[in-house]
Amino acid sequence: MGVTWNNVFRMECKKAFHNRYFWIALAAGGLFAAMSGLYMVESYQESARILARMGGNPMRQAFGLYNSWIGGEGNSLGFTLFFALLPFLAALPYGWSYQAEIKSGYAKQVQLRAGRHGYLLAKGAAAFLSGGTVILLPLVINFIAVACFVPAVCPTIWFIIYYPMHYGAIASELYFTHPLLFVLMYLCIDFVFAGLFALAATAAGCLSGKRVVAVLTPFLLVLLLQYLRTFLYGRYYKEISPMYFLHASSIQNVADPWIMLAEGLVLLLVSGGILYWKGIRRETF
Amino acid sequence: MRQGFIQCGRKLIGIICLVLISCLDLYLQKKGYEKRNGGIPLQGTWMDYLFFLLGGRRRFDPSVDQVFVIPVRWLLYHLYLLYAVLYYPCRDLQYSVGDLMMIKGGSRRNWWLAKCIWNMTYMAAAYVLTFVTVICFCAAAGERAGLAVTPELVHALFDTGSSYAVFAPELSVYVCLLPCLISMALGLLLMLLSFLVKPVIAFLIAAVILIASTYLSTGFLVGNYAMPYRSAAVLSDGFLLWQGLAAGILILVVCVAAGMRFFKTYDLLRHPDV
Repeated sequence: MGVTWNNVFRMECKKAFHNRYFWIALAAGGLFAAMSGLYMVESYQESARILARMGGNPMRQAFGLYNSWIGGEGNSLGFTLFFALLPFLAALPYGWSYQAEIKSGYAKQVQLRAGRHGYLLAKGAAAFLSGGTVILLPLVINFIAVACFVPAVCPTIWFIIYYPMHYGAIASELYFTHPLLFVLMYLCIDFVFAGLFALAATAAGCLSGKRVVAVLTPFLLVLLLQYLRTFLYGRYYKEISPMYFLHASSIQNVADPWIMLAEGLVLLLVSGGILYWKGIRRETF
Repeated sequence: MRQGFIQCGRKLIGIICLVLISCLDLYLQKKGYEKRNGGIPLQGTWMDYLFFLLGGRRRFDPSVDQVFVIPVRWLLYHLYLLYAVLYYPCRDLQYSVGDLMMIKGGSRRNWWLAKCIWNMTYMAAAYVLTFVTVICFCAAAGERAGLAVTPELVHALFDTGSSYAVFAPELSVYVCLLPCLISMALGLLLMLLSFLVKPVIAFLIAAVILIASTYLSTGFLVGNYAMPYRSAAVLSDGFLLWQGLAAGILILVVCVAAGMRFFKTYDLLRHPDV
């Protein structure tokens, strides 16, 4: 890991963050987050108007920032599109790059200078960072934008029907005591999983050699897992699908930290393993 | 046509797997329901299994205390079908086979028309395979062979939001015909878009259309017509058969015509990378 690797890593990051697909994914994520934000701010203002007209309890704690930002609400089109397409958007910026560079012959030039290990490590790290960033930025912007219009009232269990946070959900105590810390924790989790989806796409590209397959594999696998969870309906009450457990509040089941950790590790080990073994063994020259 | 089926034929196995998973899901739900109700048997027909797979989602009415749950079975089925036809036409051009076929075919228009026919035939084949798989599963599970949807089963296990005690016989037409037509229309739209933009971006657009269709119940989002749960046979104010047919045929005609016009001036050396 010398100067050469640093240069390769910097170059990979530059390519990962300055390509058309990165901007398209960021624009799509930003659009979905904006749709959610506009809908929830409008809903908040409408509720405030109705409650003011009715008089009595203004129910200030029922509608706040923590159940209005995209990670806390579960009923807008923006939220639906963002979390359903999260693995796709994460893989889009740079998940396809490995197979594209192998195909074009560019990979040979870099591997000659930085070695196969160095090249693969830089490629995986750049894919991870670009995937994580493209998901993290719309979430952060949505949170800040919604905070400009909706007060950050601390959630309370007295209005639990307005907070989709079920008993036993990951860090639910933190949610009702230090909600900002809870949001920061979830932003980190989403960043890591989005990065892992990008890494999985790189590994899929390594196996298939097609850009489309590389980018779509994590998305279709998550959809399949989301469907398979219906077999657990009525038998197991923990969330196993990343489409739902990456959302900061419970959609159907509660998120379990051990399941999240296990799925994250499986993603990391399988993707990293495929990328490493196939990448090292591939006859580039 | 033959090349397309050779290259994309393996993906039909994925369709069979998805259909089998869906059939098994309904079968287990049915068994669980029978168990909870003292073992009174609940017989289904193969149309019930198709309705379960292709039904979609009941209309969503957003409110503060209601979360939106994606109809993932329906979405996965349709997205997988679109994925199966996504990159063959672009790949055909990329590896110069398409260029040669275009010269042999005599015109660019013929090449595009051949691809459109391949796309529609592939979709039709996928649906025929779906029907055959469902029939085989029902035969193995001892279900009745019938073309009618069983109201008792639907009201017990399907969340359709319907107020009808029995369903009109046209429901079978909504289930068998419209999803297939809309898949064909979306397949052609995807193929056209994959030449206009890149295939992955075209798929993103198609996915957004389908997901938005599950959320918004409007005729402008074509995915709605592929959801028999929202049809006039299930809801009193649902969409009519002719509306779905008109929307599907309109998209098919527009995509074929736009593709022919677009291919007249398309730069064949600027192949979309798949």
